[in-house]
Amino acid sequence: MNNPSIDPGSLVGSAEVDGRVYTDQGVFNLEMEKIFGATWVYVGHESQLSEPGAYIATDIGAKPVILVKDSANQLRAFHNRCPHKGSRLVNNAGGKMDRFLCNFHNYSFNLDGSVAAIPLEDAYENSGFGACEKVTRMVSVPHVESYRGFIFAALKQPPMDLRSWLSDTRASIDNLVDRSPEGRLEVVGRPFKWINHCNWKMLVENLVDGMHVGGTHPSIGQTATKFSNDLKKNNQPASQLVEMARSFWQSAEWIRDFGCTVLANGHSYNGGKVSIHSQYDEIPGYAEALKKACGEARTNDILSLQRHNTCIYPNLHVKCLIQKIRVFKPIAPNKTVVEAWVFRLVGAPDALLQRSMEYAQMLDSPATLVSVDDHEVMIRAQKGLEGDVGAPVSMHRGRTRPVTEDENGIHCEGDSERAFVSQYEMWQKLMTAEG
Amino acid sequence: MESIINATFLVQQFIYKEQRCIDEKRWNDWLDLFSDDAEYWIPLDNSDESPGQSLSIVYETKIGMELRCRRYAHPLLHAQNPPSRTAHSSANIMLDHIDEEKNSYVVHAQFTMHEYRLNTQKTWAGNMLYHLQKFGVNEFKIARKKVELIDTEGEMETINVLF
Repeated sequence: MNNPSIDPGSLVGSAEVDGRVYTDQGVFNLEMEKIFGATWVYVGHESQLSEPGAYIATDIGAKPVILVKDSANQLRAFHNRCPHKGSRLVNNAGGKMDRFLCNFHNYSFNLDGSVAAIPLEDAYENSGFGACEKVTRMVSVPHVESYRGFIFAALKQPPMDLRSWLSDTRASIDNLVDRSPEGRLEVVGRPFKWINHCNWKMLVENLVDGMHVGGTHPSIGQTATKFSNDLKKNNQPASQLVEMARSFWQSAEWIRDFGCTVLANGHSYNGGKVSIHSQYDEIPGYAEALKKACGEARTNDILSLQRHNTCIYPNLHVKCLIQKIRVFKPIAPNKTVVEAWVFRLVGAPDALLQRSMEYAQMLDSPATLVSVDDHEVMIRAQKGLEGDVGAPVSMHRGRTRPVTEDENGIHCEGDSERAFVSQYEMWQKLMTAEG
Repeated sequence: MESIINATFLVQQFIYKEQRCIDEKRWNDWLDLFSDDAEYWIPLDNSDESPGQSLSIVYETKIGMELRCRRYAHPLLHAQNPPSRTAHSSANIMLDHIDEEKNSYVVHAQFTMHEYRLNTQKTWAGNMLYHLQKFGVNEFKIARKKVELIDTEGEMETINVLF
């Protein structure tokens, strides 16, 4: 149950936030209803739903849902429950089927959610069954929209249409898709599903927390830097993995220059002109394939946009330069499942996909060489905050430092915490919204 | 028959030795058991026939393994402060294939690993498939090690130590 003793409107200050936003079960329950239950949440990619009958099962906050292409190839979303007794209908992560069959009593439903067959249906004659559509149809998720292949759904009327909600994060999604010579992405295989013992918002903040690098990442950054130098000294060939790992060691000054841009609706990105990935070797044949598809000037435009992490509030992380996304799925105040999906850029050399996979294995696998340290410091933050001392968490960093502003957002220094402030402004707005 | 029994015994001892290196955190000794062109592979999808088709939990050549091992020595590896304590058990070791001419063995085994860290004990389990290269009289190098964990379809806890 929601804890009525905490007023969510009182938890967020102009540059500080009450630690209980990370730890309190009542706050978490309210987030499921007011944030995950009331705005656009990423649910899947169109390449997972390429033909009639193709389906995926996922969650929007605490609610299991199904996405399916119906027989008219129309995208539909339903709550994952049989309208008869509430049993979960789909029990795989995805696949293809002609109709939904509930294994409890053999009731089946068409891909548009209507009843296909009920055994001995005459048992319902004059019973009143059918008077309420909710017991004769699978319950729809009312809002499903796609932006360039990325599907978002909302369990109730979202604050605005999807394009407006995404604001300038659309340019990140555009850039990711435009990096494919054919303008198409394909999800590759299954995602990593890694359990993190911390609040979902810590992971979202981490995307644009430039200053964590120096404290969190010396083990991989310094080790890989030394290893890379040792290989060079011994005239051994450079390793793609070691070079990617060493890019996690950057000076605080470099991170300040790298920048962070605060967008509307709690979204943000860092980098832009440069990313830690900018230093990677070119993939042979890739730029040529893109030039052939869209010309040299356009190719240069696409490849010179270097947005590092894009955070689409509340819980989607888009990486354009490494073609992957992460979805932070909240399970409990102190438990989040981090799903990581990699994309193939259709028409690009396989070596690019192999690099994205090697990066994801380094970063997002349960056996990650990098994010184990993020996870560990976030566990410590979670534990520290659970011992609530009534003192808030600070977000003052960079508050009075110079920024530039344009129609898309506020460009801050890379060590600024202003992106967190904007996340909590949106958090508070959603958490205190009527209805 | 006698030579098979003898070979099985030697392979068993070798695998016990490898697993013991991990439990005792003798990372350099562990790396030495792998050939220079070795691969260590933990698929995410155990039905993948080869690495690179989809994501792997681990797919590393010797360089990647060395990076992983060097990192254990770093004083600021927060995720291993305090370190995990592990106990491996290997069982059901069978020689699936012996190529006498090339001195190569394909070995199937199963393992469980108990891991303790920070008041939590976890259990890991799966199949291990070794490609071993015999050299000298009774020595082996691992050319390839594939570990099929039983729980890769699910949500997984952090893997701090390999298997």
